[in-house]
Amino acid sequence: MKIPPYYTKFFQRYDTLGYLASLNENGFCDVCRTGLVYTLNEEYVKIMFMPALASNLHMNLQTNPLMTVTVVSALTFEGYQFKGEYLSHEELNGNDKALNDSYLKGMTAVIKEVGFDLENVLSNKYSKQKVEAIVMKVKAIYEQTPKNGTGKNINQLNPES
Amino acid sequence: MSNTELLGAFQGILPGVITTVSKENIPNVSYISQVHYIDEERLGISWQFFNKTYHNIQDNPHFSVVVTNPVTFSMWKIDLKLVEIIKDGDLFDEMDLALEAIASMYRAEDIFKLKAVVVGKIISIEKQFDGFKS
Repeated sequence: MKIPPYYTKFFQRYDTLGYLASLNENGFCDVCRTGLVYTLNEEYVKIMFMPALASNLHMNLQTNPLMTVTVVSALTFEGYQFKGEYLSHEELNGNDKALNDSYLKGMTAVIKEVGFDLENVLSNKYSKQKVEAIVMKVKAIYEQTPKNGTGKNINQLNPES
Repeated sequence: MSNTELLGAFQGILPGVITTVSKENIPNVSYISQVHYIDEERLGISWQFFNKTYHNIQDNPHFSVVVTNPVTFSMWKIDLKLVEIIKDGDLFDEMDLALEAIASMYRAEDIFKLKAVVVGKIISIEKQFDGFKS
């Protein structure tokens, strides 16, 4: 499938949080928080994450490449689930680092505006943690916004997207 | 489960997520509004939208929830196994009342209607993100 432009813009919002799910060797779900998610092109997304918070992820994806990343707005609860297949595990390049730093600063500021202070946690405890990236080929996108009838493939939704 | 920091993550202030696995081994991640502490062995998860998660959990009873303490931002992944799905009774009524309060907080009374409670037996608890101390 091709990722519609609406979702590229959605990823660029600072109020979004991501969760990445994979399967472990027993077939059970592993899930971890992500940093920035962005579209590389019409088919692939790059997902930043801290290996320290996702120790099994690499091994899981080598065993089963099917994965899911769900990105949701912490302010409006609008959310989408991107299902696809693992392509590669990469070190961040300079552009990735700049984008992820910008996202974390923006997200921290947005979250602070609604009364939650993440700054201490991120700056004091996690700022020196290594960040890596996963590249995923997106096969389908599903709506996750909490409302009646949610969960549909976006192909069934209003094609504003 | 006597960890007060973890129990604070069950207040519903920050929504959690539930992860399930389909028959085709595809993971699924969805929002949950409420994770309710029943006792040291069981949690109740609110169910508002019958969708992919509902089907997955009946095909594969193993699932996980991620909850976050809204004060310290510590985050836990809890692995569970389905025990039962409850659509009425005391536990349902208690969670329905709590969900009304959560819905009111988010001005989402029209869409946060409890349809069922998924009761899961706790298999393991992993602290994934160590927040700051309150």
